[in-house]
Amino acid sequence: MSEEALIRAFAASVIELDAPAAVKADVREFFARHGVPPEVVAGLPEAAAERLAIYRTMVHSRLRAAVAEFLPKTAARLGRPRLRQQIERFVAEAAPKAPYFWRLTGEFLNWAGPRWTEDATLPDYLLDLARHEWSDAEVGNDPAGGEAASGKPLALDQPVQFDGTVRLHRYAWAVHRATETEAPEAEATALLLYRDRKDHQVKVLELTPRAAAVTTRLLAREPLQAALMEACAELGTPLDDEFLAAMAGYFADLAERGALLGAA
Amino acid sequence: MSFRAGIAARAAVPTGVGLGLRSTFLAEVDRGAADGRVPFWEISPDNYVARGGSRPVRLARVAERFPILSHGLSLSLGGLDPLDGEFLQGLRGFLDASLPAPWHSDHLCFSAHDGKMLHDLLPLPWTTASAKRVAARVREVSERLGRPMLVENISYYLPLGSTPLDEAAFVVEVLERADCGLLLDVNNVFVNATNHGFDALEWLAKIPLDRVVQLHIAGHEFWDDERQDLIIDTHGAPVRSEVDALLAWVVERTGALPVLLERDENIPPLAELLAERDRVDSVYQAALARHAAAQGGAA
Ligand SMILES: [Fe+2]
Repeated sequence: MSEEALIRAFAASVIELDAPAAVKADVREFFARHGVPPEVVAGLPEAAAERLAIYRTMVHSRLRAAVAEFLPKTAARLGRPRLRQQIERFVAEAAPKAPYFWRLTGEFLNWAGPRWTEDATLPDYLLDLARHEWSDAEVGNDPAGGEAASGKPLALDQPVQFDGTVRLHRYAWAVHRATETEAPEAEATALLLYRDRKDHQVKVLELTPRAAAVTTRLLAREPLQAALMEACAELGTPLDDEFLAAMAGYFADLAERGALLGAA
Repeated sequence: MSFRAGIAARAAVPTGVGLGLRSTFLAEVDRGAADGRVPFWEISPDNYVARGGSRPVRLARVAERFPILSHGLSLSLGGLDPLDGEFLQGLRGFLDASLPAPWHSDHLCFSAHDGKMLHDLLPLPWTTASAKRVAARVREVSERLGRPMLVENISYYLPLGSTPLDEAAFVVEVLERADCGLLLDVNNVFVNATNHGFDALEWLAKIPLDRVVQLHIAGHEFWDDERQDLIIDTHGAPVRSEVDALLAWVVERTGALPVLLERDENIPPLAELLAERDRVDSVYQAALARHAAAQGGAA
């Protein structure tokens, strides 16, 4: 049916990588190729090519602006032309799927991840930096969080209960210390993020290797004792009083912050 | 039940000039900065569904003090993809739990294609076949959301019909086939009339005003490049006097209804927006007075 073909052609002009060239070369041929009947093609206005180009620009600019807003440092390092090209490829190859506009940057990063990792023309740290920048919105808007506490004290044979927004992100770069102009340094980094239950702000804690190793296991719902033992085994450090005291201090801090709620 | 009865049965309908509740000033409004200054807020539930954090908490507090109208962007009412069942379910859950909004509205456009969400309002062909398909989807959405639907006329830059007034005929056909209400955006009518060279009042005269349930009014900007002959509906500038005149024309004929002053880009400080609201309200109140006088004269 001609109206469905018109919609398909219109969408293609926004989505396909080679659409701008094809539309510019012969817009009537472009519509015809998408199945729009000749009599409908003949009725299209003179300015059809220019107007399709405007729509494409509007759609892509909106997506690009959203990504640049959530990833300002990453966008600055990519530069405008490169970001524009990345958005064009994203729209053509994957595109946003969710009806929620704010999630678009996460969808973009899911697409970019494997591509940026292999792209030698991009800085090695770029994906880590982008993921760190996005984590603020990801955690800040997480539908989870604010769950009722179990009310049970920590117990060695039990897993623990975290606030639903708590997550641990590991990076090969000190992304949390990058600035608009300074690149992050190469340094294994573990960051614990959560959303404050009172002020709803996202908080970021830099973890020691020990705290990170324990937290990884606790987030995987391992019982407390097993998490402590396996973390020490992994790091080759003794499970001694010094370690236990450090972990007790870490748990007390998390509990005070409302990130750790007790035994699960 | 007719769409009017459906609306009346749900929640009190606010009237007057309201504003869009934007995240840039949500915290201020939550703290009471607009109390007594705005008859209602309009929100886009697409920005709240399946989202945690401060937004839903603040919205819940604002909704205790103000009527809220619900206006979406993502249903792709004219799209060829099947309706997004998961999204509709989430939307209904949010509306049922959070808002006694009398209806939900979205645009006469498509926004998604082939599973790709383009996050924009893309135009539809103005044919009967198209109107039938869209109307069936509007009915289905209304059913699945369990509330009346309004559809909004959009700004378009590439007409997909042979005459400009085909759009009005298309809008009317959708309204009647779907038995739904119209969220009439007078700014979009003005933008389209200017860009495509037709008379805005001639367009409005084709619309059955008893279907008009809510109005949108906004400012717009010139496209910032060589194509200066086109104005773009950015909702990023104060309202122009020509658009005020269209608002007045409608309100003189319909009487009181909710009018939403849209501002989506270059959002000014809340105080400035409230002042712009007051200015539009004076246009609205004057039109309302003329409506009342005409009613009195007729009685
Ligand atoms: Fe509008």
